[in-house]
Amino acid sequence: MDGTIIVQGSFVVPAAVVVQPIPIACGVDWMYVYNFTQSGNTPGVVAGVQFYWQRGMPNGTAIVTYRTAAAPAVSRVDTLLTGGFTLLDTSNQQPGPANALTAITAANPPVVTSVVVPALGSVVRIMNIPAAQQQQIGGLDFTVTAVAGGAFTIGNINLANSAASNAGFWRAIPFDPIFYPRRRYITFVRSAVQAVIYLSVTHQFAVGQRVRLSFPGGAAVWRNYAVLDGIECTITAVNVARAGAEPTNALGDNNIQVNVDTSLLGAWNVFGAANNEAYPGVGAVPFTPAAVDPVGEDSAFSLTTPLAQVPLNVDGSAVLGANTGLLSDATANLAFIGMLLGTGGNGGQLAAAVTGPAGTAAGDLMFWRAGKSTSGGL
Amino acid sequence: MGVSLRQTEDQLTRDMLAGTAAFINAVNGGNGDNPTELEITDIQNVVRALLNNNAYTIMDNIEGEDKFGTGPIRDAYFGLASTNVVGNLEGVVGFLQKAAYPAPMNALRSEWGAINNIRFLVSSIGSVTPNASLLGADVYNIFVVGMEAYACIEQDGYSASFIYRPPIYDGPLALNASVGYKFAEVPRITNDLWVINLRTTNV
Repeated sequence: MDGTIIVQGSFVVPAAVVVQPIPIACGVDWMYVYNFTQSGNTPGVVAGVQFYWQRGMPNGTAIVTYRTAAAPAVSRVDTLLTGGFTLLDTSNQQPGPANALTAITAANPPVVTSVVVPALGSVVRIMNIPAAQQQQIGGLDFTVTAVAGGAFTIGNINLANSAASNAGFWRAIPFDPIFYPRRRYITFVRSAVQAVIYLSVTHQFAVGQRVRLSFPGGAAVWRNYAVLDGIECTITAVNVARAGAEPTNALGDNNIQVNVDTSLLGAWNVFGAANNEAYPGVGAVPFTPAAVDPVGEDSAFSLTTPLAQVPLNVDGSAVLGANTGLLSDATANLAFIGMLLGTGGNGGQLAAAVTGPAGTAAGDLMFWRAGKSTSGGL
Repeated sequence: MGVSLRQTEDQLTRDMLAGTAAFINAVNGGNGDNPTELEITDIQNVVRALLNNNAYTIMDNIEGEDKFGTGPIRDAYFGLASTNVVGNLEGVVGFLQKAAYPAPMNALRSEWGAINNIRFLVSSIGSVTPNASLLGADVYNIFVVGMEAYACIEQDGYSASFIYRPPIYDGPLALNASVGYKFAEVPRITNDLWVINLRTTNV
């Protein structure tokens, strides 16, 4: 039929079963996913082996055919209430709703107390911090580096010695800006022969890329480090081990090492009224946050370094759609539309967990088929 | 459809600049937010930064004439802004509406006015970062650009195509016509020193 588009593909479940994004450029009206590996197994868990969704069904759901856990495994059909298919458009730049926070600790790492907590590894934006408290981070984005009951950690900044906050809001930032590489906020700089620069959000830079450092506002805001404003430099390593008062990130250190000598600039943590904070104090507000701006590639360095030049996500996976190697700096539109395949949830009739279209176990071979229909409605 | 095509190109360029260009917050206003609303000092800081970076202005000056209520316009960089900041712009000391240019016919359709060495072009699809200020207000990104600061690079043989298929190509019953466009291009900053994102909130 003219106008019908059918696309297909496959993937192998990585070491951990995680939500799987599937870019489908033409858009999706319906989608099937098959678990080739578990279809022939006695899986040991209640394993979904065939999944179906089409427009009109709620996001996150699926019709699932699953195999029972015990031998002999038999196949049954159910409705997956959560962890199924979710339509995805990563060009959505609208933040989530405002969630109240009741505290941000003056610590390294800072812990945010909130009834609602974001997902580990996601990005949040802090705002509406009361006067004389941690207003210096108002409007900044941070990667969530730990989540516990009623609290989460923003481990890419050291807020020790600042004035703890007792109110405010945070919003979830659903997706990064669509073009790679992205500008990132600087939160800490190591005084060293090769500076190590910490960034508030998982940076995704790669070795060999050229960046320009931006410290607007002069010495009144950035003390000795204001001299770095405008300096262009090469990234010589990423995510080097932290030391001293540097931010403490449970997900792994989030920094870049650059060929700029900051060894004579003194310690970074000299901000605030008492000269003992590791980020400009509330007295500096309003100010322009320091940032790393991507500008290109040091091709001479890139051609000689033995280090991998692969932009990485917070979970260590490669950034989907970004270039690698000598061209890792290339401007690329990483936005896509498609489907998020979930990890499963309770069945409507079974009322117990069924694995989802993202797979059942590491190594599962998954096949999918999706399409746009010529006509018809919900 | 043609408008949609060109606006899509603009939106992609906008999003590239918003995600990668260097920025300076307006900090001299008095609205208590960070960034603040615009003040002349913020404009001067951006112009000085571009001058120090050897960015060429895009527009020539408009020479003064003997007409009531008009004033000469300096050679200028472009400031690409959201239509929501027009009140913010008009509150800045030294703002000159394009109607007060000595030769308004030399202004662009989307132009709103000039301050110092920046002429501001406004658009309803200008860049906004939602809830990104200290107080949770929308932050407006004003891209102040010099000549050849960025470019849109088209893939060979794949510049914008506008495609119309009459119903006869749809099926045996010729029920549906279709119209669409496609293009493959990437916006790219050519010299990061020549573009600065001036971030501001409204009063």
